[in-house]
Amino acid sequence: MPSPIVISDYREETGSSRSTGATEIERQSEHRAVVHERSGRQEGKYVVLGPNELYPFAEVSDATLFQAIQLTGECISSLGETLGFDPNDFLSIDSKLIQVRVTLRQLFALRSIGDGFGAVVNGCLWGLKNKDTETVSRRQIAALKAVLSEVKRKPLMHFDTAMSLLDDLESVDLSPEPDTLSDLFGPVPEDEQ
Amino acid sequence: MSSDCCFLDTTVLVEALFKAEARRKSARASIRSYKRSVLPVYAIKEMQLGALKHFIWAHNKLSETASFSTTLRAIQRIFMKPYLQGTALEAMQVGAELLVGSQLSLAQTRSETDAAMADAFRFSLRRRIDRGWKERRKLTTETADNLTCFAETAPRFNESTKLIEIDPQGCSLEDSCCLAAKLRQRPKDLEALLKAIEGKSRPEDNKRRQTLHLLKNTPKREVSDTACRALGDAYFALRCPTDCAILTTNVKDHSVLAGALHKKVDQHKA
Repeated sequence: MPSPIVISDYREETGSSRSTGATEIERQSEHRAVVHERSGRQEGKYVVLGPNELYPFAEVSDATLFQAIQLTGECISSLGETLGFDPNDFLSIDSKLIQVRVTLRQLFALRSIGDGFGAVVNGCLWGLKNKDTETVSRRQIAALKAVLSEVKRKPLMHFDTAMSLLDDLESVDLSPEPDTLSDLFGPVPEDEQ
Repeated sequence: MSSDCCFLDTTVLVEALFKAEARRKSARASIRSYKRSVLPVYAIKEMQLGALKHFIWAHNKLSETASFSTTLRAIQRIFMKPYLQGTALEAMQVGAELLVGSQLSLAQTRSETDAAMADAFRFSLRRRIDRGWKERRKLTTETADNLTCFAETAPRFNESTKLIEIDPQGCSLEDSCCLAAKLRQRPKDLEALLKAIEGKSRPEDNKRRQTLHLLKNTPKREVSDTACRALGDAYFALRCPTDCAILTTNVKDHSVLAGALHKKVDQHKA
């Protein structure tokens, strides 16, 4: 059974409880009514579904999920701002990309949300890391923005969905994995055996 | 290029599926430079039991230990890869830059950073495994020489254990090797291959010799999965169509066997 805080938090985010001027106690009892209605024990006017209701098997708290959605939104917003800059204004572009990288690292710390989420954030981090001193093109920034918009929309995505998003990054020459991967973890080369 | 057609060996298949991006692109370009490219299922089998198995092991080790440094130590110890020292240090440095480039990062302790790096590499490995398997039959214009005893089982991720599993591996569908009957019809070629490796004492040559003897001299005895795998390069020499060249990174070994059967060998420079 999902935590009750979940739904009241969600309503605060959307402002639905505030609009009725409810106190915290009233909000919690309202939540209980919602839960009861869903379990068929009490009639009510409406049902508010939070992520835990929509994804009952996800092993992640709503707080983490909301944090991830908020941070992903920040990333998308920063990338959008970057696209608005003069392409020759490297300093402004890179300053925004620094923010994006920092936020992506914070997002990676939330990878318990799921392997799909973790894989995309990881791919975005490596995509930017592998560019190193090279300039990130507008096309690549747009691709990152599109990929992260999908993450924001579907943070609990399956790994297979994540794979196709990483293919989108690869299609604009953003390599979403470490170059050393096969050297480190691949089979021993024949001449070394 | 000595022919319009290439017959892929496992080394090029692995290059095209599992190596770093630049090498993958180079191998794919090599394959595309031929009008016709043929992938024998035997190469998929060798890939499944070689490179793919290795990557899966590394993925599962990262998953089990949740530690990048412990996994690297295990690789260096088990596979005796001392030459990896430099690459490992570089990877750790790059991984640390990737994940702890700022004090805002939530991975602030050494063990948290180590676990985060393990996950960063684990996600990438899982993707490489997934992509490699899905693309295996998409590299060439055709796939040939199907093995009815080989299940070609896809690796699958177990959500509860977080491990990648692949079962069954190798040939398990039939009791005996489906290739054996075809190969036994060519005793002269088997003899030529035995002559070509006469006096060679590397472990792989010894195993190959045993299988070639088994095929040539004991027609009623069953050929096991292990014996089939021991054929290795000899398979490619025997089964490469006469109008194709074996495309490999390892011309030296292939030339000896392919040369004995007047087959051509082209080198892909990795």
